[in-house]
Amino acid sequence: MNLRREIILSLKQTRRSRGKFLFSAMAIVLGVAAISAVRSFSSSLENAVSLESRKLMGADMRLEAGSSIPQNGMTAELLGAGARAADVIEFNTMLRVEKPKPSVPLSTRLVRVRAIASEYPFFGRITSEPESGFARVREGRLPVVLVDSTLLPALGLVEGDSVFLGKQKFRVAGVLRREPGSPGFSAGIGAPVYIHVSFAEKTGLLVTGSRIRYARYFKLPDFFPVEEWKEKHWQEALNANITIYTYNEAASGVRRFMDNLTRFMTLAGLVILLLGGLGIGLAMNVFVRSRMDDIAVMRALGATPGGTMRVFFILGFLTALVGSVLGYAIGFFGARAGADFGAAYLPVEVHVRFDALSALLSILPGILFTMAFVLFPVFEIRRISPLRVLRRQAEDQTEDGPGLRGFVSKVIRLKYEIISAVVLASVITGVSAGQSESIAVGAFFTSGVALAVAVLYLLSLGLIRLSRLVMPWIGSYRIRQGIANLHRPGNQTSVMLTSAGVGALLIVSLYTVQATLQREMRFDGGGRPNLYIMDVQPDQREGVEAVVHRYAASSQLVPMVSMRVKAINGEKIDRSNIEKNANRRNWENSLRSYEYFASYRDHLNTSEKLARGSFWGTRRPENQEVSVDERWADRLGIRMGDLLEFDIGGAPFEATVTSMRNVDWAAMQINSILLFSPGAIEEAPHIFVSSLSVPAEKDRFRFQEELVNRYPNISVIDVNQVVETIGGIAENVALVVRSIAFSTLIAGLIILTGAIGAGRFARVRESALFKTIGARSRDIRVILSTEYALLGFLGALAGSVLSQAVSWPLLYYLFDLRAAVPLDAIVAMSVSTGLISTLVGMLISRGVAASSPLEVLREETV
Amino acid sequence: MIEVKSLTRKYGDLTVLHDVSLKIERGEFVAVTGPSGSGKSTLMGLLAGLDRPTGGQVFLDHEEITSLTEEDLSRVRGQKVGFVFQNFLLVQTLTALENVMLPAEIMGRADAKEKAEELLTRVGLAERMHHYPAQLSGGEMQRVAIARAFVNYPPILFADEPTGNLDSLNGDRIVELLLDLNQTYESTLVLITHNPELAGLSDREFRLRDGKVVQVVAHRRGLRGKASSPNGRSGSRRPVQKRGTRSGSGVRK
Repeated sequence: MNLRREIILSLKQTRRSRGKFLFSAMAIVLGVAAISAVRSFSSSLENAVSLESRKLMGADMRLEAGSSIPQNGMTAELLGAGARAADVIEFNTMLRVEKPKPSVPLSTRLVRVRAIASEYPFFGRITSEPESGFARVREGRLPVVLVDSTLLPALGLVEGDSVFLGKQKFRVAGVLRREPGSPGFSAGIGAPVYIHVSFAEKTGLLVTGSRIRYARYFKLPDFFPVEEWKEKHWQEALNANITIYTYNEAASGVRRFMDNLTRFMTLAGLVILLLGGLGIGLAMNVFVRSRMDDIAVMRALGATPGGTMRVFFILGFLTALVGSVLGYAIGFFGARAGADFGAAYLPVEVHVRFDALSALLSILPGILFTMAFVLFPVFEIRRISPLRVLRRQAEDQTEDGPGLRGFVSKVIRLKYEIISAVVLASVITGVSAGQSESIAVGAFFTSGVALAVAVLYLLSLGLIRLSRLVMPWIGSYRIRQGIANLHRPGNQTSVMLTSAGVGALLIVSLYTVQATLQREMRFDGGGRPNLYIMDVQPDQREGVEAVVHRYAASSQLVPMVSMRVKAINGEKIDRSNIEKNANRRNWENSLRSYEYFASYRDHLNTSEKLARGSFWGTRRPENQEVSVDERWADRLGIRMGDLLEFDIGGAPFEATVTSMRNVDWAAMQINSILLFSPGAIEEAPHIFVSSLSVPAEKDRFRFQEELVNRYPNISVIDVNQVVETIGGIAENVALVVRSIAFSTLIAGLIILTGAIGAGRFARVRESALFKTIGARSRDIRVILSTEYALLGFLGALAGSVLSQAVSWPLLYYLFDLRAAVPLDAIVAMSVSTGLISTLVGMLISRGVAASSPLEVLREETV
Repeated sequence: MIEVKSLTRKYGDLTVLHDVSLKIERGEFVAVTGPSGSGKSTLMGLLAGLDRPTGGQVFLDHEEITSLTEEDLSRVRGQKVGFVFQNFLLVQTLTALENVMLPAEIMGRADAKEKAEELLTRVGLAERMHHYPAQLSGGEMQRVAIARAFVNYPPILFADEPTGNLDSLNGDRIVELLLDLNQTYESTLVLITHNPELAGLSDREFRLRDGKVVQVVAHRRGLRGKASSPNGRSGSRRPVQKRGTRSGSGVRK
């Protein structure tokens, strides 16, 4: 047979079951859609960002530091080469309205100030309403401010109103429309406002200890080797606590966010594809079983085993192709809609265009996964003897002997299963490694899946044994028969328990992670702080405390000292392996260069536990001691008894590690990685911070107003406002996660249907025989529903319990959270799967119970 | 055409066919009869290359098939063998025409459609070509099966109880058709049946019991009423008797 004929024949094979095939391809559609949506979107974003990178940064290069950048050295070299420079200072502070509007409850709000030099930006534009607004800021003649559009309704501001930033009064020159970089993502804490850099000092807010970022932007001469220059000066800059960014790293925050989202979505998409592949594999298994007679006939008529296998392989391929292409189309248009929808949050205009490579990379996993799963039933075709045309039970009845010979003969007999398993594992590893661009992730993903399947399979073997043991003790013969079906020949216990289990495992894992994150994101409950006070100077401490205590009696001001880790046991911190590219640099990579806010106390907070060593408590150690976060220490290779050297504003400071703590960061209390014993550290320049819980919005507004009016330098973070600001983004991300969970659910359902369908053949004849010997339809229904309900319930239960082993480490290591066992979800999942499985089982076997036994037997034999 | 030497088939400890040797000439019509479990279907499976013997050899058209690979066996079946089954065994998802075309398509023949249409017209189903098996009666399904069996002009045709699922009227028609086509295409026909009348139409009848050929009866073409040896040579009237087997009992003349 040639290929064309084989394709035609494979299509003819599905004449009565195309609906079923399309249904089983649904999961592939969903999985590919998830992958292609995120792939199309992120690659288009990446393209747009690359094209606009200079405009996004507003310059060719930026030097950034926590303190003022000196004018000599590197800067001088660049200027000497013909570069132009522009300084920008960024800091958070409270913007106060000079004359609060009676109609607006709020008169002060946290903002992110960008104090810019006249030359900035060198590339791209900052636009305002009116157009002259930004020009007036840039001139730097008068103290004017350009404010973010969100501040207008929030504070009741209009152009020309006066506002205060620290001690300096500014006139509102207009509203900010578009700025380089990302408006959406940088607005996390504080809406952006622009002033001229010459007024920054006059605000009185540029004091040591505050989080201020000093940046110097450069426009370089044409053909200046910017990357080489960065490479050459990287270490020198790092030693001076300066970070170099080139235009290629523009919008690195958005890029990293998209990278992470892409990785998550891709893995979630792969999980759905995995379920989808399994679903189609099972559907194919059912199909092959239902076509055994036809296959035997084809074989008897001269079709070769290879040719017959090809026909069914082509069928699997066509199903996968249709599902994958459809999925790609849905994902592509989804990405387009996403780009329109997310325009407000994106730094650049993203045009999602068709890209052949991205299409191929989305469609290929769908096809490969499906084909890998389809191999099992397709190889099964080899076992269908043409002799079946004469004798129905013409199956391979080879028995493997004992010992090594038996084992070898078993391996030879199962060679196709072994080949299929190896191909499947390779495909899963290869695709997941390719999609996540990491062999480690691919290997981890595959071994995780293999482990889960192995555990579920072992559990199913246990269940088969158990059903044998309990069966004699069951009084009702119908229930007894239902339970006996779990271990009888032709049972689907392993297939169904494993597939329902894998489905439940993924769904409940996703749910646990999502529910835990959501619980942690809830700022309004549980007496958790919703206001954070920053930048309190030592001389303001008593006054601030007095105000704070009127709103929250228990709140405390915590001292914070800004410092860097310089050396461990006299050995200077090695910063040579810090990732130079900001697009790839993560927080863990920055640990060595990070500026830490350390505190000192004589007690442990409720959100921290002593993990190692002994805490000084009320003891006043002779030498300075430090207690560090245990995981931080592990990452930096710091051990108990190590002597750490710090740099506090240029002054060296030493302390010995005498204890390690386990900090629950999710409690949102004010904690610090480095906690010192009270003593010499108290002399270091420090600020105070505090957190408090003020439930009523009115009180929160009044509190902010009172505090900021009296102490203009103090910043107050109103968590509710932050949540509101980032809420839009979070909501959209949550929508994406929910759609993934939903898709997983559908994929799970498809698998369940496939697994039940696979078991149908064993039961249909048996039920007919039961009826022949006098069983009523009702008896058959009870027997079948007992079996299906048990399989669905126990499979989902096993998967749900196993899901906790997945979600716990995931939450702990990735988010530093402790997952709450979602008992309600486990029960709901198990019971609903039991019910669905019964329902689907009864639907698939409909007619078995109702029709006459002869009808069924005849239909099954002909 | 078909030659079998010391054919044995065991399933585990159970010997279903024991040391059978026989020879069937080109164009000959032979019937294989015997009670249930006597090894008829097993013998047919082995002769047609659907199964592999535990011991012995099968020659189809001088080609020894027991040592062939699965792929080669498929080729042999496609080129040399046609089948008609008791249960018709039509592919349910294919129309009558497509069912008949199937063996020709498997062999890669370009004239599959024309030949299938011709044969279906010959068996009286010109009007039913595009019907699915479920839309046909038992007799019609068996006629489709017969047309399918002849589409590749196989030199050997195996028929397993072809009238077993049909009423006598339809059964007679089918037999008529089978013999007519068999004569037209000069193929060798091996018929497995319980039906003595049907067996009586054959040239020779191999009677099986307990996995052995216990008697060979010649019926037509000058051999009617005579017993012969299993290898096709005419012999004494006495039923062939192997050592250790009972002779005569239950064997129809």
